Amino acid sequence: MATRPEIEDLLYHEARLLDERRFEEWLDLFTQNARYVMPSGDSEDTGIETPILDDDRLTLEDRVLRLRNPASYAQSPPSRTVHLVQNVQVEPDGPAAVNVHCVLVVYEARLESVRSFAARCFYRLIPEDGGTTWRIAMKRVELVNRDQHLYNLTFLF
Amino acid sequence: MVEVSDLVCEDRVHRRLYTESDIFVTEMERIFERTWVFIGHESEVPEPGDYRTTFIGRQPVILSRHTDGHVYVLLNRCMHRGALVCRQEAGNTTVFRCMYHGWMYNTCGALVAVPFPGGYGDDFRREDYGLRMAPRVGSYRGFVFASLQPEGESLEDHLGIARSYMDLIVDAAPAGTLSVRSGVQRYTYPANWKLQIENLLDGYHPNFTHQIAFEISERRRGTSGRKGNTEGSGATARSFGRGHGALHYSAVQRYRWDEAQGATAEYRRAVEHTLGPKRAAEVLGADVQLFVFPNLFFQNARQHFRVIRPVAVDRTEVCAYPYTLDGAPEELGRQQVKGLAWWASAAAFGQPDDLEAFVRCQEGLQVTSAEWVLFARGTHRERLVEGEIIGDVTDEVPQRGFYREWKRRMVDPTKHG
Repeated sequence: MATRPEIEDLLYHEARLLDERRFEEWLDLFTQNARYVMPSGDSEDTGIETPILDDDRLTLEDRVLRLRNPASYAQSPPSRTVHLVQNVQVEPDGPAAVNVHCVLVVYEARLESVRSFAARCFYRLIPEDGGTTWRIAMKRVELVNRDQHLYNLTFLF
Repeated sequence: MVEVSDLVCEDRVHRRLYTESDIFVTEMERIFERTWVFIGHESEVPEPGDYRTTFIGRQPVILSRHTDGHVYVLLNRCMHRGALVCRQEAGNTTVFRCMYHGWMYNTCGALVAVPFPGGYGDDFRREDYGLRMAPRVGSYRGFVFASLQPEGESLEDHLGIARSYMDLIVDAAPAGTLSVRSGVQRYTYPANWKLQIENLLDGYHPNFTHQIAFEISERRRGTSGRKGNTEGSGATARSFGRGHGALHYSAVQRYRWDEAQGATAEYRRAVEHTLGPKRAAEVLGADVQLFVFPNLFFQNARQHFRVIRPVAVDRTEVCAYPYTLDGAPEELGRQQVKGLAWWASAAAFGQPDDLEAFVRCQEGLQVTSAEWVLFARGTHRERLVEGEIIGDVTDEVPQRGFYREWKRRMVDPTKHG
């Protein structure tokens, strides 16, 4: 049974890994079948409404490889980020899953600009490693401005 | 202002085309507010009362399906005090009611009600105050265009050879029509609009700008666009008048059909049934990127089109719409709609690197001691075949064609519709 402090620790840890550019450790937070979605509108179905992204585990790994590659021009120079996680609510879904809702604020600095993004996030966590570790089976990031004209979201939320 | 004609030569254009606000304003007046401009697709407004809002250049317009079944392009501006009469992006209505003083217009723009009419004299005639509308509206294969100029070249003549490319793209639908209802990738960038257009028809940059996307694609899928965009690949860059142009990759087949999918075989059979084996082979083997001057671009391999909207000399907005092929298995469409994010979203593996290039151009073009942007590549080896100027895929043939039309319209707009 997951407690809120336990889940908050996981989310804070995730935010810190991203802000410290420890992307390979960040990948380890996800299950092998994980799905990571950022919708572009209000539909749940990315086959009906084209998403900002809808990644499986391999594509998430590709994103990390890209961030490590100096020929990633949209990340050259790279973004520096601060991820703030707040309003965490935890809903157990049976013994083997937890649904989490939280809000995320990201500050991103690159070149001469600092941009701020706000999002609602939904996670589905499942226990792995004999029940000792919660891993992310699904992460969904709903930007408040997801239906506006966007520019360079090649850093990670 | 410097004479515009001095700023465009056959193989180069002046940096001021990208940096000067007065040139931008003239572009809006002489290009976007005169020529045929893409507005929207008929499938976005299928029923009477359906509408969606967009722009012609800087001017807000409404694409509206009236009860007579026709589409109208109405200027989105109340004839009373100037407010937008419609703020929604899309919807269905019987009237557009101005929120400010309640003036009401129907879906073909007629002023149907004015509150407290006693305040106007007997000589007030409602028919004088209908919404302004684009005087010319035309449609080709479901794609609606409008011109703010009352007279001029017909849409068919404006499109010219671009029509055969649109046929190649739309014929891929077994039912002969496309549907546009799968969301949109919207992106913006702080640089000039023409940089996007040059780039969409640029087969020279992908091996460099998109090196990472190709590496990842090859590792995951065993294929990428790398070879097609190599000098001598057999793919071609083309220009065919009125500023339109294309990259034609059919000879190299950058993207293979996933033949393991049952839906692919079902789809192939449907196309062959509709078109016969010869045309079906041509359509199914087509891999083309088409630009329709001044604001519409197609990429059939990734099953989408983009609409380019200039906002300011150094600000551009682009919408990339996935489309689905009417009569094709639903599963194929779902893959394309979802898959477009991989290349063209703000978080994608392809397009953000292009935008980085545009921004670097916008900054680099502030250098005044180097005045010219070069489009000379392949000038010595281009050839004219049946109305198309054709060069190697890495040659700047389409860019030269774009700027010939740009110059023609900017120098003496009164001659051209």
